[in-house]
Amino acid sequence: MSLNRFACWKSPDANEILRTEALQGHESIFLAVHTPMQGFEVEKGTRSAWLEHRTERGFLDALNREGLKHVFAVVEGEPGAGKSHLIRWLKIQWQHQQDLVLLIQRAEGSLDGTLRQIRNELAGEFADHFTGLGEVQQSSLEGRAKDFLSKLANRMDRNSYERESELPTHHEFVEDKQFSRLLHHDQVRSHWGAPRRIMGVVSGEGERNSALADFRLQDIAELAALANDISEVGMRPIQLLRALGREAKRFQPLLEEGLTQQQIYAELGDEVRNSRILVEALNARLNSALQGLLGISLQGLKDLFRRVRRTLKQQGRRLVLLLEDITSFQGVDDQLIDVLVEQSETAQAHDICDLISVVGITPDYLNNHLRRLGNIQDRITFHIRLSTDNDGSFQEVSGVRTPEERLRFAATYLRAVRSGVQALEEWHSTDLDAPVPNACDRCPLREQCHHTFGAVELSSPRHGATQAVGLYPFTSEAINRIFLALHDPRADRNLKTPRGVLQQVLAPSLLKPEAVERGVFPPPDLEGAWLPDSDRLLLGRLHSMVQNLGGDEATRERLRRLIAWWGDRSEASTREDVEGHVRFAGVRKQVYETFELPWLGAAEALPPKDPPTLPAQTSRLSESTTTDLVEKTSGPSLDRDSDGGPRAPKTPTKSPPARKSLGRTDQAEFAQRSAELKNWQEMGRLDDGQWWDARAYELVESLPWRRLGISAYLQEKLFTQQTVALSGSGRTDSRHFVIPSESWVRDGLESHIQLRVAGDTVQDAEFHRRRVARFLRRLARLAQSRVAEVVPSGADGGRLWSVPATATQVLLARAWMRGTASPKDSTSRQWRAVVEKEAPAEASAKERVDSWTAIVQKTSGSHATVREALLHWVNLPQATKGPTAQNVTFLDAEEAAPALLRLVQSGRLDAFPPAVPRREQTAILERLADLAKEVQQRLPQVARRERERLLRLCDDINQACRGGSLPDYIGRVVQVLNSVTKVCPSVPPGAVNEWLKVRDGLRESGVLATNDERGQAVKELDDFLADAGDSDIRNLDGAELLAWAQKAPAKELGQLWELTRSIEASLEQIGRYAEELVLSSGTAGAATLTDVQQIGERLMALAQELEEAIR
Amino acid sequence: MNQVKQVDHLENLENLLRDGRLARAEEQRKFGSALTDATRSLQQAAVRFEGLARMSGAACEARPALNSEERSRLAAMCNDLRRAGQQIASAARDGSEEHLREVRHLVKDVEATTTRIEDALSSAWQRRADREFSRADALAGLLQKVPETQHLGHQLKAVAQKGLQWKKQFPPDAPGLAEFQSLITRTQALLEELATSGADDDVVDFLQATVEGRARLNDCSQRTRSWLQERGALGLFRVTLG
Repeated sequence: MSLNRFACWKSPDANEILRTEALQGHESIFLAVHTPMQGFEVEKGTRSAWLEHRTERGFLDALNREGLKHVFAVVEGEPGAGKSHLIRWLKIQWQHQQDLVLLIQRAEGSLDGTLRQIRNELAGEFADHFTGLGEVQQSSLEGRAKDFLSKLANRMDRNSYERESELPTHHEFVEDKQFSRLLHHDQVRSHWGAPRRIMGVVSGEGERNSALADFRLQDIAELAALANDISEVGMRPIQLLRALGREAKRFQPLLEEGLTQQQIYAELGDEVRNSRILVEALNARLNSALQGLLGISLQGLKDLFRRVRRTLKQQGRRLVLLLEDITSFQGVDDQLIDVLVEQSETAQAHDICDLISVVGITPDYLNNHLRRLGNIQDRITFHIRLSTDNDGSFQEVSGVRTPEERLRFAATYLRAVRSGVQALEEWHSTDLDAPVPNACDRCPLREQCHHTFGAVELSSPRHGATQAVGLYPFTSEAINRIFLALHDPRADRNLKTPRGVLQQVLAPSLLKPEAVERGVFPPPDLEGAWLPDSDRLLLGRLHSMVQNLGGDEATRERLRRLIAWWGDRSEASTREDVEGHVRFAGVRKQVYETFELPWLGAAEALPPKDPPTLPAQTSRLSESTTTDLVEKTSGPSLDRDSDGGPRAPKTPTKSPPARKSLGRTDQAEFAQRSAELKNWQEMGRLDDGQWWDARAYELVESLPWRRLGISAYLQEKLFTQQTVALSGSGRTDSRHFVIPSESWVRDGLESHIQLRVAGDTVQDAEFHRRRVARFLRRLARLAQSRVAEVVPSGADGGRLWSVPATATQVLLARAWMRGTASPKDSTSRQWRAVVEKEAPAEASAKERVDSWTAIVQKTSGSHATVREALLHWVNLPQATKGPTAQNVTFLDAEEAAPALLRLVQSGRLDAFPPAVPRREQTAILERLADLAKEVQQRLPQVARRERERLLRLCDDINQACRGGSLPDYIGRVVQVLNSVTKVCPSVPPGAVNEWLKVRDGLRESGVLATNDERGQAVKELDDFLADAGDSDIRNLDGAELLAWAQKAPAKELGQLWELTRSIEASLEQIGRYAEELVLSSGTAGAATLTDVQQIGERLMALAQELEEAIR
Repeated sequence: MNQVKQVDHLENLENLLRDGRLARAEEQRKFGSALTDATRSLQQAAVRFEGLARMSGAACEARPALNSEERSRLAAMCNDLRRAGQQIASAARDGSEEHLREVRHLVKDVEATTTRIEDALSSAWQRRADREFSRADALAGLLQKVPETQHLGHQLKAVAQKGLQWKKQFPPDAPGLAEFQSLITRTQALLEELATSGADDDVVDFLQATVEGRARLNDCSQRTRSWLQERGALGLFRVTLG
């Protein structure tokens, strides 16, 4: 007889025993699989001190403590943590026969079903008390959802409340935003899924699993998404929708990253204010709306229980309420809690009986609902926790925290399933004090089975005896590995619970014993939806070995499943273990034989590995190396940290994974990483992408950049830790250097990891080194391609754009235009003007031709950045550490210096790309190309245009001087206009003022000066004007022309031109006036006052003469 | 820039300043009709004013014909003229429109005074001419009858006739005045020539009185009788009872 195709259990028994719901009629099973609960945490309660032992028995004793008339006990735990199990155990163990013990199970999960349970439990003598307790309408779910939404909308109106004090939170906000209009809108009624979802939850649709019926941020996002279809609701609701839409764009990515609502509120604060308020407002009205649907008044449930308690008081009895899951009451939970905290000792309630209540709640409910209810927490008598906080993610659940606990828990069920329901009922009915039946005790294959698959010693607390329960068809590795791999990709639930062990670890195999009997074990069903694909894959050579195995696909798949879950997916070697068993890929040879799977191991086995010393960041799969608990009695537990306490397994996290650093990895980590790579290749998604990106960056960083022709600048801009990413590792955009999911990448990364693992064989190391070398070669080409994307060809195509050349030429052109360098200067001086911090401009470019000015202005905003980039680009780092690192700078002028000379000679920039792709890290390149375009458009003509401009100015000024010298002209003008304004006071004041301004301008400009330096400057200006007509100037070209233009007194000429224009304007203005005055006087020959005076004087003289003549 | 237009305003202004047109135009603009009227009235009176200059020259010749009363009256009128001239000059100097408007009235006053002066001087001028040339003319007629003085008589007659022609021409122009003075001088010279021929003052006075019809018998002195006799001219005289 052998273990081959031997199933020592029956499917119906497994089906019955592995059920997690409904205690009714299955007390035997319950007791048989019951594992004493202990080690839970005790939170603050009014009588916490009376909980002397943190065991289920200690809890029971505390509840029954003499003199305790009122208990409101809370059992907190994640769904599946065992809350119901503990509460059911309390029901079974409750000793006081007089008490009315009411166990309300969460079996149906619906409020309707829960109320029905109460009704059934209280049937008979309390039946008449149910008058007024409504029933859920029997309409369809959709219909109820719409009714629910209508009631919810009505609850947004102030008119729905009789008293101000009844107004729920945020009533002013929802009234101000006229939110009820939105909820009444047809589009919302038809397409908003939240009401339907919530009604589904409270109706027990699907597997409720303690899910909360409440509104969430996602509902707000869904509502906001309807904005385009909603109209005619008024401005305020539309504005609100728009605001919600904006906020949804902010919080949705965080939701997708797995952040909780509270974490999002904390992170985004007021950025999601409207959404947060709406969630709170909706939830504050949710119960009220649900009660409206149920026809329950606010007082209905309280009155019911008060009537029951009055009756019990009269009978001298207590009421014991054992509620497995408070979420089953959602809709009336607020009232229920009011019931539970109402004490019989108060004067107002002296006619009601004592109440002992134990309520199962989830941490989610505790945080989001119970803590909202003011001082309720202060009235909790006992508060125990079956799970513990785990850094904001799901809590760790007592009973399955350690491998030992998990194995013990699984073995209890394995024992019950093998014994069968019938045997358990017999045991329950006959001798409950006897040990639970254990099929292994009488199994002829026990020794072989336990030797191969392992067993767990279970002790019975009643009689102290122990039983060895075989783990067949599992092993300790299989149970723990499957358990630890459980993962909800949506992070909605914690699967690492006792319920998870039953439903996800044991059930898939135990419900199908025929898989063993038909020789097709492990069956495909083993790998349910909660086991990540990445954990199913075999790694490295192991993968190849299984894939290359002949035979049928089904066998290869069984082999894969066996190695993946029973063994070590990354271990392609044959080794002896510490007990002397030969293992291949971590699975004992006998296991292969039992399941009739081919042995791939070598004839000779390697010696056992030393127990690995783990770094602080213990790998996820560290527990995989645990050996059978029965046999393993000493040595360091890999599942414990340095403090000896339980190490937290990697649980599904709701927050983004923190970047981990890997120093030297271990083989288990390698296996996991290798699996991730394989999954990456097959699924396109790379788990723990940040970690992988860091590894990829390590390799990218090691590339020979100089040899690849990639500057340090580009390396640092394009290939940073933040921008190097593996495809599928996370969201990427154009900023990222994305390494594709191709076999050479996977092979290279896998070998890179493998080479870091100590103890690998020399042959394998060579294999991996070759793969890494190949990877690096292709990576280098990829990097070059990436550079080519960012730094395209020059405009002439072909050659890669020389960024330093363009940067040098742009900066040099700028220096020329600013006058800080001349094309006639020495090369070294011009180079300094390019690379050194800009000196103050020699001359203002504003006085130049537009294109001259434009070159300076267009480059003024970016020249420093371009210079910095140029220096970075041409920098030759001499050392990254040590004394020379900071002090010595060598620049590689290989491209820059010839570019400088070419610009001097040709006056034109080298070819550059017409456009550069927009990228955040290399935005300066795009800017540089734009600058180059601007400079190139202007530079070749700028000197000629400036010459034409200057000569035009000279012509105009010379013309104004009327053939005379500048000082002569100015002198004439000053004399004439001064005289005119003196002789002719009637010259319009405007014209006079204009002239006075001009005269002031002349004084300020110094052109009136004659003797001092300014006079000399005027003379020089006059000389320049005189020379302007020389043909030599007309014949200048290239650098000479630009140098001439630079030296020209452009500013002074401009000022003088402006002055002459003003002078001529004044001359014209005053001259026209004078002419008109003369013409209008019409007395070109008429006498003047002088004439009149002279005539008068003449008359006097004549009179005198005459008088003398006659005297 | 076409700063220098076809009209060169700089040069134009220089010209307007230089020839005073601008200043005049400015005054014209400033005083409007006041200056125009003053100027016009002055221009119209200019000839009269210049006539005063001619009168000044003639006044010297006429002055011997003036009596003291006439002189005083003319002096007063000259004073009026001088004051008017002073007021006109002041009006121009002050640049006062109000004063300029007075010029016209001053000019009228000046014209009236000038007329009065001219009349007075003209009268004196005629008297002077009569005095210088009427007696000579009559004497010349008598001398022409004496053979020995016939030639002299002819000469004197011609000069006196010319002189008497200037009697109505007042004020004479400068040449006229010069001729008038010359004629006086010539008359005096011819009379002195007569005296050298023995015709002393008694003779001349007697002849003169005879021409004027006032000679009495006892006015004829012995010397006169002798001079007449010697020249056979006694028969030319007739004695009548007065």
